[in-house]
This record gives sequence, C-alpha cells and structure tokens, in this order.
Amino acid sequence: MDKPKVAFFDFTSCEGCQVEITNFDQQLLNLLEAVDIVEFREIMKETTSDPLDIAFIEGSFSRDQDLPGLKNIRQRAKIVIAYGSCAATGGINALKNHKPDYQYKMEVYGADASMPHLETHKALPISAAVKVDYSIPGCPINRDEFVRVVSDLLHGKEPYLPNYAVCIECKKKENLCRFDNREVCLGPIARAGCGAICPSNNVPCEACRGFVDTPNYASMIEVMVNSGLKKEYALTKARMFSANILDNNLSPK
Amino acid sequence: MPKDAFVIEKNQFSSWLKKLQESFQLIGPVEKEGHFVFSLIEEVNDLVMDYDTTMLGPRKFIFLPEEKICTIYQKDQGFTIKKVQDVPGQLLIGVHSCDLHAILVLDKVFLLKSFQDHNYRLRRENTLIMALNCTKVCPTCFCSSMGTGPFVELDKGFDFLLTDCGESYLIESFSEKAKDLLLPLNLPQADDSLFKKKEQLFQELKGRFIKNLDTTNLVQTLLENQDHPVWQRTAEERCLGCTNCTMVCPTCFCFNVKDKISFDLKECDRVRYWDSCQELHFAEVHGANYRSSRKARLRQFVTHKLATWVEQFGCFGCIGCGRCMYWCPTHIDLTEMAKEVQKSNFKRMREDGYA
Amino acid sequence: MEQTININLNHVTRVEGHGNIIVNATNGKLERCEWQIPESPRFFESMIRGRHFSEIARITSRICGICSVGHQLASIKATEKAFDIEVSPQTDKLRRLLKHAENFDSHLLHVYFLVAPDLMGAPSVIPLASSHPEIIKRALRLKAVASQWSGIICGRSTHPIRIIPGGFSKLPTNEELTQLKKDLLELAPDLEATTQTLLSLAEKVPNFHRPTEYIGLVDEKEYGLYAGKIGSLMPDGTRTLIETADYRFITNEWVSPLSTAKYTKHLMESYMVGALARINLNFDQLHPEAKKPAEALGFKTPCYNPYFNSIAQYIEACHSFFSGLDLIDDLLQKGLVEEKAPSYQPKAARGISALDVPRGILFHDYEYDAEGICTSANCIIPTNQNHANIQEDMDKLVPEMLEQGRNQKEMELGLEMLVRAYDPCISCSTHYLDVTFKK
Repeated sequence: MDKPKVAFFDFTSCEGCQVEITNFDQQLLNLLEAVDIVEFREIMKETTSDPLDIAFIEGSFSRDQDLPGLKNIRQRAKIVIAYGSCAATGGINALKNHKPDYQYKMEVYGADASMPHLETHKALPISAAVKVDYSIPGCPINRDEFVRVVSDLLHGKEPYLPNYAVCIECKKKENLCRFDNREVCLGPIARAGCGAICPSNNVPCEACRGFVDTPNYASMIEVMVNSGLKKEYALTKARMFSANILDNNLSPK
Repeated sequence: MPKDAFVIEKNQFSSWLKKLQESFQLIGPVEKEGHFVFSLIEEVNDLVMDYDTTMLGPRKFIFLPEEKICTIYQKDQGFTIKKVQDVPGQLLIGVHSCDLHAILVLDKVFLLKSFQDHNYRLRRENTLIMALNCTKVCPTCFCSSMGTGPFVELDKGFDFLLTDCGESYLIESFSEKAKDLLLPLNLPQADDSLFKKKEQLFQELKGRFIKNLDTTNLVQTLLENQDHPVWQRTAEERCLGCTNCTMVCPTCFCFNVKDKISFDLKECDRVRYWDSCQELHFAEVHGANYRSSRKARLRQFVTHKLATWVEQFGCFGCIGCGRCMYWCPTHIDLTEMAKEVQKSNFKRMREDGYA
Repeated sequence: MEQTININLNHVTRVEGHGNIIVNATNGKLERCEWQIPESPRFFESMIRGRHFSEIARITSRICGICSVGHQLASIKATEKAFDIEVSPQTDKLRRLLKHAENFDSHLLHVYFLVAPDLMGAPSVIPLASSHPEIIKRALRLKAVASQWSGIICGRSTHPIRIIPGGFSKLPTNEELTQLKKDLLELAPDLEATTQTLLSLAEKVPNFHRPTEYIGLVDEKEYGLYAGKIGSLMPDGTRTLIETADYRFITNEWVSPLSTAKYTKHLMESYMVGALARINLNFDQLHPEAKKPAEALGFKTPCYNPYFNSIAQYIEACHSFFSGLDLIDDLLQKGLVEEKAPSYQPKAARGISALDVPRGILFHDYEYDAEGICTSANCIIPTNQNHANIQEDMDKLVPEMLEQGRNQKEMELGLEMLVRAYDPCISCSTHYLDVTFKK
C-alpha cells in the first residue's frame, strides 16, 4: 500500500512549529517511515501539484493574496490540518486585530504605509479562508500531541483535543499553584494538552492553546482582579494568544 | 483495640525507616515549593511529619494519575496481552486519618465482591500504611463532622498508627505484617499514661475545628433539592469548570482510558488516567451530553460526595479534608453550599406550606 | 555569452520565511536582478505597545521560531537596561551557556538541513535519509542534544519559558548539567565526522568574492555573542567600535519597494552580519578547539565569500560546543544554587540591547512608562541588515555568471545557494520600526 502523501505549508507565522518537527529525533524517523513528505518548503526543494492525503498548514490567514494558495491546498488535500495557534485561532498575530489596520501601518511604516505590498487584514485562523478538518493548537505545538494526531489519523481514528483545563495537568504534577504565589494564571480556563509546561517552569499559563469550550470568562476576570491585577489589564491579559476568540465569541463584563 | 502498642524515640524511628528502605519504597510527606506533597523518599530526613496537609492525597500511589493497564502486542495470528504483574512494595508514611478513610473508601469502589480492579488490587496489596494522628487543624478541615478524624478510630485496613508524643511516638500495630516488622525492634510497651495522653490530645484537637457540617438527613435533603438556586448561582458566578476540586479530592475515582499505538501497529499501550466529572464532555454518551451545563456538573460533584455516594457505597464520598475549597480558584465551599440547601430546604418548605 | 535567462523563484525553498529571486536577461543583457521580500508583515512593534514588561520577551519570542532564544535574551536585556536590573554572575553564565546552545542548534540545523542537500546534489534531507542514512542520523542526533541543551536551561528550545527579568524562573539541576556534559562529549565524534563531511564537499562551495563591511559584536572578554560594543570592519582593515545605544547610526533604515522588510546601510551601500561577519571581526577569540576545524577546512580571515557563511557557522558551532563545555565545568565547580531574584521597580525609561544571534546582530529598543507598560518598541533583525547586502551580491554575481556562460538552471542554483548561505530569517526581518522616538 502506498504511504500517505503529506505536505507542510506555512503562511503568516514564525515557523516555530515547523522547527519543532525537526526536533523530533527518532520520532521523526518513525514518521518518515510511515508517511511520504512530498512538500515542505522550509527543508525541501521538491514541490508537487499532486493530490495530497494530509496537508499541514502553519500560520494565520492575514492577506487576501494568500487566499488562492489556501484554496489550492484545500482542493488538493483530503485532510487539512491547521497546526499551531496561529493557524488554529489566529494566535499571537491577532493581537493587532483590534486596532484598525491602517492605524497599524501608519505607526509602523510611517510615510511608506501606502505601498501596496504592505496590505494586510486581520490575522485570522486558516478556517476563515478554507474548511479545516482538524486543528492542533499550541505556541509552539506539543510534539507528543502532533505525533499522536498523525498516528491516530494513520490508524483511522478520530483525533481528539483535550477539552479540559490546564489545571488538571498541573495538579497531577503537584506544581505550586501560581495563584498561591500571588501571580495570575489563565490555567483554569486554558485548554490542556501541553502538560502544563509553563506552570511547571514556574511561569503562569498564558493560554497559548486557547480556551476550553464555554469558559466562564467573567469569573476568571474576577479571579484575576482579586489577585491584584487591574481590571483593564485583566481584560487584555487573555488576549495575548486568544484575541480572535475573545473578540468574536465572548464579551467580558 | 490495637494488637500491640509501643513507644519509639523519634531518632530510633528514623533509623528504623532507613532499615525498612532496604525492603520497601518509602513514601511520605516532604516539602515542595512552600507546600507539602507525598513523594518517594530518598533521604529519610526529608520527611516532614508535622505537615498540615498535601495537595494530592496518598491515593496517587495506589490509584495512579496515569497508569498502564496492559500492553498489547500484535502477533501473526491475533494478539497477546501483557498486564502489569509486578509492583514494588511500598510503605506510605504519615497518612492522616482523613486520607486513610479516603483509601478505605476507594477500596469499596475498586475491590467489589463481584469485581476487583487488577491494578488497584496489585498496588493495594503491596502497600503498607503507617497512619499518623493529626497535631493541627486547618481552617478548611471538617473531618470531625464527617466522622473521619482528626484521630484514627478504625481497627483494620491499615498497618501502623503513630501518635506524636513530643520526643517519641506512640506506635500501634493493626496488622500481622506490622507486628512482624516491629518485633525485632524490641520496643518498650506503651503504658496507660500514654493512652491517657493520646486521649487528651484527641479532645484538645476536636475543639479546634472552625468548619462544621451537620450530616443529619443530609443525603435526603440534597437529593430532594436538585433545583435549589445555589447550584445555578454558584456555577454561573464562580465555577470555572477547572476541575481542580476533583483532582485534589482523595476519593475521586473516575478515569478514562486511552491507547498509545505505535506507528507500525505492532504494539499498543493501554493507559488509564484520572478523569473528571467537571469536564465538559465527561457525561457525553452516544448522541447526547446529559450534563451539558456547568450547573449540572457542579451539582454532581457536591451531591455525589455528600449524597449519592452513600447509596452507592454505604458511606460518604467526602472525608472532610477541605482540599477542594482551598485549591478552587474561587474557593467554592461544598459545606457552605450544603448548608444553604439545609437552611432553605425547599421541599420541606413546600410541604410545610411556606413556599 | 548571449543567453536569455528568466529566473522567477517564487518563495525560495530551504530558507526561513518567504523571499523571491527575479532575474531577467535578454541576449546576455541584464534587465532585472531583484531580491524581493513579500513576507507578510505582522506588526510586532505595534503588538508590544501597551503590554506589561513581564510579557514583552515572550511576545517578541514569537517573531521567529528558530531565533526565539535570541529574541527573548535581547528583549530581557533591554528591559533590564531600562529598569537598571543587575543579574547575578550565575545568571550571566547560564545565559551565555544558553546563547551557545542556540548557536550550536541553529547553525547545525542550517548546515545539515538547509545547506548540505545543495552540496550533496539532493533536493532535501528527505531523500538523503535513504541515500546517506548515517549522515541524517548524525544530524538528528546533534539536533536532539542541541534542543535538549537549550531546553534544560530555558524550559523549551522553541519559545523559551524560564527567561524573566532578573534571571530564570527555574534553574536546571546539577544532575541535568552533568548529564548534558556527558551527552555533549558523546557528540564529539559526530562533530569530527561533520568536519570530514564538509571537507569532502568543500569544492562544491561556489567561489565568489565581494568585499563588504562586516558588523558584529566585539567583546573584550570573549568572542562576541552575548555582550559587547558594535564593531565594524571595512575591507581596508579599518575597525571602529560603536556604543550599543548609538545603534541607529549603523542601521539607517530605508524602505525599498521590493520588500516588506527595511534595508540598512552604514559606511558602504550595504553591510553583512552573521557568522562570517563575526569570524572576520573576532577570529582570534575563537576557542582554540574551534580553530582546528577552521584550519582543517582551510578557512582564513578576512574572508569575502558570502557562500562561506555556512562554513563560518560550522566553525562557530564548534566554538559554542567547546565554550559550552567549559562553562558547564565552571558552573558545576560550585554547583548551581537557588538565588533570590534581584529586586527592582519598573520606571519610565528606555532600554537598548545588542546581541549577536546565529544570523547576526540583533537590536531591541524599548520605552516604558512608570508602571512598566511598553509605550514604543523597535527591533532590528539581523536579516533586515543583510537584505541590501544580498542585493549587492546578486548585482555582482549575476553578471559574473552570465559572463561565465552559466545556463539558467546553474544560475538558479547559484542564486538560491547564495541566499541560503546567509541563513536568512525572513519572517523575523519583516518588522517594522517606529521611526519617532521621544527623547
């Protein structure tokens, strides 16, 4: 049986998720034996216009000129996976979204702002451009989760994303709770799957993987304010990786 | 009545533990980043015997947070399954009364007459428990209300019981294994004065509880007030659905199972891991989620521990350790919720014509 | 010769980020020769505005996935400069050790995954995994230990976690450092093997010569990577040293219609940063063990061949390897100790830092208000500073290749290899600056 053909694409991103893949060591070799990587611009020259079994897309959709490329990928691929928070939710790129774009351009490019090649719109998840079958959040992705999702797909299983809070993973490791250390942590509403890596390193969770479904955002704000954070900072704290989620779905009190 | 009761100087106790380390893995309370946890002991001197409480109960060494159930190997014709067979012997040192009750509650869950969980039983049979009577009461403790502390009043299900008497411990043995381990030490017998002291310490401690819960008719009251406004209000205004409560609760037993299959499909590890009824999809079955609201899930936590557990297992699920309310980011207190239901018991009020 | 060449390399492969090479020549007459940067700008400097100082490093980290360690260190140093935070000697050593980890990791990634395929005539490492499995296994081994090396110091090699103003949120243990030393020493044969592999491929590295200005950190104490003044080396040998705070005298940015990344120039039309620049500036300060592979590969300074940047990177990887081992020994002598974090207060101030990350010299420049909120930011990325040099190189190289009668395929490869040699980090370089600073 032919090995499934997979390809990696990237749009508006830092390419950190791709770099993580090069750190897989033995798991990368196992992966290479299980699939055929036919396109991966960052490490390969080869390209193809063949149909694909799985297309992995990193980065946000933030320019109209990228739309034809995305549509082409969707057309060629049986399964499209948006990996990394930028592709899954817009990620940190979305921090600029609440300022009208022109204002950004003026701040940044000054008098040169009107040059056409500097045109962008809001940073959006790939799903805003084309249908995405699965998303793997994380900034960067968690290697084990990526391998698990690919492994599940190869075995015909439906991959799943944890829908519980980072607190579970933190408590299982018996980490000192950041709130106990008078810091503000988004763990109670952040989506788990990272092993609570930041609190395990004594830094509060910033919800880089987005939130669980239906978080109690209003209560979280109150918890943050009770921990000493000014309300306006509490409101912006969660925007760091989740600006799109907040602006579109939830309105904090 | 204990089978045997002796006195052991604290220095001698430490040396004895060092000797026991040759045959058992020692597990006890140590300090970690400003609070206490039960941990595998390398240096006996790391033990902190006068700890107040730990984040996770010692259940994590018998019912592990993540544990392999079996490995499945693919063969030419079919499969072979290899279960976990050997676990090292372990001694749990310094288990407080509440946590001891928690382990006995879990025994009722996993070691039924009809079915004994393989992994749980393997570890439980290879575990010796050295219980320790408390010397402190925390603001969140209410074990005395639940009949689970502050001193151990059981006579089986564990091996040793220590009571801190200053320079020494009163050490009582409650099992044959314990008796055999104490024999070679030739310890002096404990006399009546020591038992009097123990009783005195017990009474003193009982008077220091700030938190109480009246458990009279509690089961019925809770079951008859499923629509009480306290559930909705707490779930909406405070509960984050973070599952901290169920993670730190020493009697929670829900778990999920996942398969880790190798790429080449030759080998699969079947693993079980702690799950939580507070998770959104926990009560999702084919076609529906019968606890899709946070209110339903929060209510489930409280009513299971304080009511339906009794129907299931003949005892309360809550052993009064207070961990859930301490680690909850909004400090939701299940005793307060129960009291609110008791105070404005709507069914009773309806029957009496008041509501 | 009278060739007609139409090169339109859209999104050059095996580089980080998106760049295009356009060359048109009709009947031997060059009409167009452009290095274009169409990378989508992300407006990081605007994203940082209004955020608390405790978040800044982790946001700038996301400018680039390969250089995230460098960005975080540069960011932290700038914040520490602004608030007058002094770090302990132990923290300083750990950061330098981390810097070496990044250098080692990034350079080996580049040499093995991005450059080696060209030298070995393969389109990528993927077919090499079947044709030269030993080499690829070796690359993966080196990379895995490199990632481990950063990981035990900063928590995670891509987008570090433990780097905070004043130090680290968590320290590695002495056992981890001891194990790291052991793992590194086991790699020594792999490094030796890499030298041999490169030696066998040396003649495949194109010959091209274009003297330019070289800019990099110059540190009295050691080979400039973590700290020092900005050094400039001109082709005639003139050296100048400039204070970090005066970096804008060097960078002088301007916008080109070809690029979403700005270009820079100092004393000549362009300048080069990166491993080659650093080695040209600081060769004598290389670790003695690193001078051995340099000698074996016949590498001499000053070297004016940009293709040799990859060789310079490998020599630097050796330098970082041996310097890292020395630092580990130094730290293990006393053993790592838990230290109280230095106390500090945020204040309205400006902080500027310069760091020489794998791809070249990096500047972070922040202004904070009294509560520690960032009011403006400026990040000048190494690759930004190389774009103009790449264009200048192409302007000389293309006519030379036409003169030598190269066909289109050869020219394409030569140009791609040129761009790859710089190890550009194009996503990083599409940053923009706020050109107005309050003084």
